[in-house]
Amino acid sequence: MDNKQRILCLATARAAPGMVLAKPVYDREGSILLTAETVLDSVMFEQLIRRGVEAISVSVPDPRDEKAIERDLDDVRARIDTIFRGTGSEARSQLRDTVLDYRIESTR
Amino acid sequence: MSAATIPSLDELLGYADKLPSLPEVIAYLIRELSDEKADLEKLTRHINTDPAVVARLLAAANSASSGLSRRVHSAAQAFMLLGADRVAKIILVSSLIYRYDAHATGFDARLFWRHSLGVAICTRTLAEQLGINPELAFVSGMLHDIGRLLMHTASPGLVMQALDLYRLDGIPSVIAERQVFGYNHCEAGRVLATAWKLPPDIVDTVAAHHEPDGFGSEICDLVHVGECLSHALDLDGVPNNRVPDVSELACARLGLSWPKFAPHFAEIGARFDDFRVTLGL
Repeated sequence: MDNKQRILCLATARAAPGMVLAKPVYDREGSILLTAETVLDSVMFEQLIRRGVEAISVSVPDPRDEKAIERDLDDVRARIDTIFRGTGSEARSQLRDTVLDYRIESTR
Repeated sequence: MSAATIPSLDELLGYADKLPSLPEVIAYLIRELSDEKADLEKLTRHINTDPAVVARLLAAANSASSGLSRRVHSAAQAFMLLGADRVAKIILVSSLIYRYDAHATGFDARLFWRHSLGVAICTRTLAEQLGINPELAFVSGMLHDIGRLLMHTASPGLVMQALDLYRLDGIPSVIAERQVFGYNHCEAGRVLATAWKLPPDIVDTVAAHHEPDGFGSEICDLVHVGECLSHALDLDGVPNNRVPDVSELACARLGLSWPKFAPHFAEIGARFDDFRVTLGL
């Protein structure tokens, strides 16, 4: 396996110095605080908490091979089928499709 | 089961007294948060009058900032570090959990509050994007299911019976409740919310969160879609989770398009996780 990465969205308090930002971080007013690919150090980390940044996206190594990813995707589809069992409105179907796309995207 | 054991909606009101009263600090926070102008100094003063509240705040603040080298030792320090609105939310949620930690048979209070927290976070994140007061959204989400607390206090056995209809027969919970009680937790919730003298907006969200169409209120529509979203994102993580029906009209009135809102799904997951761990839920 090469060093494949995946993007995780974490609560800031659950992140740790040394992690690499996958996306830029903005404050509540929308100004950019840190750019993508920044390696978090403890000073930046404290700043993020103080600025009320609740979540950040980081890149982490992804040790899964293709087979494992396929298995994860099957699990995701099965779970969506389970929680959306039964019929409902058009808006419910749209929510289902949107959540399925999101789950597949974040599992790959 | 004899019909005589089923409490009527009017009788339910009597059971509101059996629940612990809404602590003063919660009533205060609900007023302040839904008012859009939380006064930092007043809030700190208020909180410092109750050592148990301060203790819970410090535990949460230290957990929320576990990556930092310094410990949080005072309410003022927690405010500095986490900001007033976050502190207010931590106090609100931790006080509710502590006060209504029902340990009667069959009622999982942790799960109840975890679900409420998930709805609060979904509702608040939706509110931010739709330009609606996010703090009112959070409080309404936190309280939306209080009818379940009241029904459980009045008749735990009947609640279990309704729960079985939902779990085993796949009947939606509001319909199962109506079959057993003759009313559902939305109607019961209105009774309790009124007894607690919650602001009228919040009383309506409690009553309307499964069927918002007739209310024509923005915040009612919002809590309804927030609840649906929390189920869709599987925040409770319960095996028998099922997404309730989503009101077409509520989405249309809010101008909500799920694909357009999807970029915020991951953030909701992270925010929920943060609160959940911070509060030990």
